[in-house]
Amino acid sequence: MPVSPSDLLSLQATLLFIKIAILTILILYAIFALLIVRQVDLMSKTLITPVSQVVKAI
Amino acid sequence: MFPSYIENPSNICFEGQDQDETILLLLRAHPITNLKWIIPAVLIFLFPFFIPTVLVNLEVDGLLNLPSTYLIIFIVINYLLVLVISFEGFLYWYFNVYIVTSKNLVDVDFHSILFKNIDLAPIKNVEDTSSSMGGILKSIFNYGDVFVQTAGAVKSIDFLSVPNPHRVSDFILDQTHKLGGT
Repeated sequence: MPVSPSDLLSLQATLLFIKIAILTILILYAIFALLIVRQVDLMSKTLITPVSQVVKAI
Repeated sequence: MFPSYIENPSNICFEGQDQDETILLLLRAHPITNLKWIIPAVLIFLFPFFIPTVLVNLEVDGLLNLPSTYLIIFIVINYLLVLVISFEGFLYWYFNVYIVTSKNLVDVDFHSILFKNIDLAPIKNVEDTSSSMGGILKSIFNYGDVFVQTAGAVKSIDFLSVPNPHRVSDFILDQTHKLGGT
């Protein structure tokens, strides 16, 4: 079945929407990762155990 | 590997510990309490295996015709989510500890990201302790809550979901008696 121009436009719009959603999620993840690094640092300073260093390294 | 009830732990110290202060008991929530994040993490981990069947059954399998790059990215995001849930769950469990030292009771809480709360009460100020254990899981796995009333600014310190709550309660009171408290 031939693809009509409106179907193609709809598909491209959907793909663009998905791309923007993926980029937003990845940006949020990057911010969250920074917060986690800070949090692990705070936790490792509060309770010092051999595992703290491993968690910090991860 | 990660015990939740440790008497006289070695190689462990905490922020603000004095030179002459020794840790007598280190507690964290019973490992079974981790099920609340392990179950969602496992379900999300298995999600990509079931979603194609579900989409085909619901007759919305058009989503499966997306370019393979998109599908791979969905799977990567899915497993990043699993990683976040697992790591966060472990961190909260591992670092939320209750410590009985030769001088103080210490309750270290991390309520959310970047929020830390440390309750400290001199062990000689302990007035009374109580422990409670109720519910199916708590009875089976022998864990519960210990409530410690103190005479200081911190009115009470609660040790939640710790293993052997009656033993912990008795241990704290014994230490108080040794130091000549109530």
